[in-house]
Amino acid sequence: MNEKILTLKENNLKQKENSDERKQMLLTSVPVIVLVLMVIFFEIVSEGRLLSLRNIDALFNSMFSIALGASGVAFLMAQGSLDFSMGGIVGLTAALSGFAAGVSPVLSVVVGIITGGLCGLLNGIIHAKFKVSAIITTLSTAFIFRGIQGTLITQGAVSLPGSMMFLEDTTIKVTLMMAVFIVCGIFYTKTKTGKFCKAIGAGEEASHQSGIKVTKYKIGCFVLSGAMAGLVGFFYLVRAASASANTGSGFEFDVLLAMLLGGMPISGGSGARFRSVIIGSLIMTVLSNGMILWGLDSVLQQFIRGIIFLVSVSISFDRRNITTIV
Amino acid sequence: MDGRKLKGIAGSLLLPLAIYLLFVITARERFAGLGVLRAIVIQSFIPLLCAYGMVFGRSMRMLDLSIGSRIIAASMIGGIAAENYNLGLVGFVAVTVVSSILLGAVCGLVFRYFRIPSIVVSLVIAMIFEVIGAKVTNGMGFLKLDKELAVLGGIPYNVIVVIITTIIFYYVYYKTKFCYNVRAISGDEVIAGNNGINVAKTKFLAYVVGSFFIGIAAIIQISYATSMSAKLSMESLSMSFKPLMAMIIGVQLQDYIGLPVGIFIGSFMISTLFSGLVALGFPAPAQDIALGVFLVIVVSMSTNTEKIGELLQKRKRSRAAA
Amino acid sequence: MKKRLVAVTMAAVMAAGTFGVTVPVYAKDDSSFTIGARFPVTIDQMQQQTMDNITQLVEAAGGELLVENAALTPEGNIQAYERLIAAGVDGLVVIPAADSVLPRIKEMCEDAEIPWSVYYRSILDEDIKKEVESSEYYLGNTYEDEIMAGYNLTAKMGEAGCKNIVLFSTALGDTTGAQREEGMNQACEEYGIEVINEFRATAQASDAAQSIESVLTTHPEVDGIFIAAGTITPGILPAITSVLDQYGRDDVKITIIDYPQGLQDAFADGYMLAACGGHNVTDPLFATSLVLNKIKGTPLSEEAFSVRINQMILESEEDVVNYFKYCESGVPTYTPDEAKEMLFKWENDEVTQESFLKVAEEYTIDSVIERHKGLVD
Repeated sequence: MNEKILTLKENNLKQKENSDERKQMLLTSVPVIVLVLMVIFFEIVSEGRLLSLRNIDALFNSMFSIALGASGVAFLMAQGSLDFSMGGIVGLTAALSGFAAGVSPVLSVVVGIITGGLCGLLNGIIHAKFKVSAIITTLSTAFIFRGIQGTLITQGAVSLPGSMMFLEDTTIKVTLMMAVFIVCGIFYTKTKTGKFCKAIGAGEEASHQSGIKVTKYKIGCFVLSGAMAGLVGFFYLVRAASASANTGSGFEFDVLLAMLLGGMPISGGSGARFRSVIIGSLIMTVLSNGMILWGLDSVLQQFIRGIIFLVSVSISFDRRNITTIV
Repeated sequence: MDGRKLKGIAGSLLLPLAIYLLFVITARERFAGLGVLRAIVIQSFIPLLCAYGMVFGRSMRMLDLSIGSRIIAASMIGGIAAENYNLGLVGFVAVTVVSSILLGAVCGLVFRYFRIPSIVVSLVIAMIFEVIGAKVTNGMGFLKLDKELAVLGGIPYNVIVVIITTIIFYYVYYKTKFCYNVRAISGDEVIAGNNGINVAKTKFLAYVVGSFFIGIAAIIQISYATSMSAKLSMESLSMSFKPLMAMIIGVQLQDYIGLPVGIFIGSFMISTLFSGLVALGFPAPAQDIALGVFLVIVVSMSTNTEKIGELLQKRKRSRAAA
Repeated sequence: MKKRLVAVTMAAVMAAGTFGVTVPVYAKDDSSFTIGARFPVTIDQMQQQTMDNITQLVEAAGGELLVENAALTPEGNIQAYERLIAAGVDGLVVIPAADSVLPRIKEMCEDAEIPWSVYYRSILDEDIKKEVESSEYYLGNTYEDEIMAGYNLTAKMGEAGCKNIVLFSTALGDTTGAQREEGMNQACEEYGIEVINEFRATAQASDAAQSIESVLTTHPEVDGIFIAAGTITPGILPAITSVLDQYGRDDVKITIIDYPQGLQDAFADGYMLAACGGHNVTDPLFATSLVLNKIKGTPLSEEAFSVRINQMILESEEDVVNYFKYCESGVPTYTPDEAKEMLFKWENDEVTQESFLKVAEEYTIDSVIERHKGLVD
């Protein structure tokens, strides 16, 4: 009799575990489901234009910058940090890359990445060494970077030399994006860098006590985020063949929204997954593009975008390991 | 009162004075006048009132960047209702404040029932409420207020409003059970919850109570400029940055001089900086750089006061030893 | 349960949005076509009127308008026009954020084999101009003499005795703003005027009020305000005049490019010297007509050409009343019937490049009143 009860209990436990697992799988699949539903919906309402060859090209070009930026920010978000200075870094690096482009294309890329890295270093030092919250740090430095950008570009825009126009090439961008995804993905999921970032997001004090060099990883991730923003700035310059005093404006919110839509938890930790970068960037781009093809009133577009964002994030937000929601 | 606290009070009061004197020295006759001081004080009112609205949530580590969209929506609803239904000044104030509270309640409900981080709520709310501001003006995107309704934007009425609002804020923040709960939650949310505090309700109330002050800020802002324009594409988010900075400075100083005064000092410092840069003829990009650097320095210093104190003590000791 | 409710809400919102579609984008028959344009999100009366004018023009020609709302930045430009081309438009009207994006847009239009034109802008860079004009798909541009506009308004302030002015202008790098400031600087040199402070891309009217209040207290010698782009900050005029009232500074004179709300009151209160504009609602009509003529098989010229749109100068409250009555109260400055007669070559054989240019040059408030007396009254 006792054995029967034990077996029953074991079976019930197993069933509960399986049910929890299924629930978890469904939860983590929500962004993918949202993406698929969105593609189907917009493909229908646009009468097949969404997935036309030319539109896929346009989608990819829109997605490219967000995906690159998100790849860098993913490490920061795993730590529970945010970077509101990305737009400022993109604009500043686009301007400096434009000036350097007059000398050589290689210098242009290098200047962009290094400047971005240095901007990230400033953010990292202020945040990690002076213990100022990431949001306040990056909001403040955003003013600084924008101001420097505005000081550098006083007339018109910085132009890209004609000899560099060839860099606006889908093959180059696809290759670069794949390389970034693979390298960042491996770092994020298979190396201690990614694991330590998530550990810091899960519990900074516990990570510190466990021997993780928290300050070093915080600064490092800001440098990475800044460097990726620098690379985005370079490609902004290439794509538009110029950089203006407004270049990069609002980019940080595009990236943040993409990450959240992709299911990235804002507090970081073990629920942070690199696939949020890819899925989130796709959702952002398909949503923006789809609503235009749909022919919606522009004000209504914003309203619907807000609702979709709210619903999507609330379904996919991982509340398992969070005791408090702030 | 111990020496440390006295030093803190002195430092808190000297800080705005130091910034003011810096510009008096550098900009000389352009800055040293009662007219300039008056303008600085008046310009600090809007960030001050917005910061009062933000601080309840921020104390509990919530971040609300949607106040800009709520200010625009509430002031437009109040202005349009007052003009269309001849409600007069009292009606304008009442409708604006009530609209703001209702909008805040919506934010609170979204936060409570969707159970997502406050920053996400604020981005979503900003997107949705900006549409209200745009649509309620029937495509004009802009509301001009009659002079009779805009009376609260000028001296002495704006000063009276701010003083009354500060008294209300002081009472709410220091004398109500709601704010005891806020402070308990800000210490440790889990323990506060285990001790019987209804955390979800308190966070919801933070939005609602904060929205009262946002409503007052909306009245002052639309009355000051006699107009308000709608914003889209999340441009209203930038309206929360100055109040956020004023609030952060205020929170850092609250242990010495209390939160209302601390926030006023923060707001005053930011207005002084802006006016000083105008007096010196700095172009707009340079103003942005100066503001960013100022914020980094102030917040870094205030977050590390103990470390700075220790460093100074160390230096003193090593000089004494030498 | 909650998640199901949320998912159902999402589905309902998307379904409800279907009823928000005002223009079925691809419900076209064989003879219809689509023109693509980039516009800011329209919450402003002038912008709404402009979009309505273009929509009516395109519909009068038998087509549909597809609008993109990306920001007016170089990358926003590329994104907007790339999307429009991907959406299958048959022609584009383009407002470039900077000259340097034009070669990229030219490439995109050549790949798509669609005609395009530029509105609100001249191409200042000679190399880019040459490159763009060499394309068979580029039809030309419509522009205003921005340098003259800036010069004329500042000269009026100089003639009125202003010596120390404040500038409210666009963000740095905006070519239109830059040209207007160039004109302003020329007049400043001529009349000995100093620009004592500048404010750029002011977001809210209250920010403009704070800015001018700071100037009045730190630079009491200020006696003039030049607003180089009045539509950037809706409410800028009431905000500034209310601060001037508070400080009793009725000696300060204002000039403005564009006609924002509050212009009539500013004239009535005695602050306004002059306002220049009126081109916003009309300029894109001409650029769009270039594209429409090409699509319909009746191009106005084999080569690209520039069309200068006359800007109106308003100098009294009555002028303002007339402008808003005849140009921004719902009736387009060129009605569909007038467009067929004056702008559409396939409707009227007598329309030529010369007559087209003449129509643009003769665009004045008086000519609009003359044509629309019966319509609007």
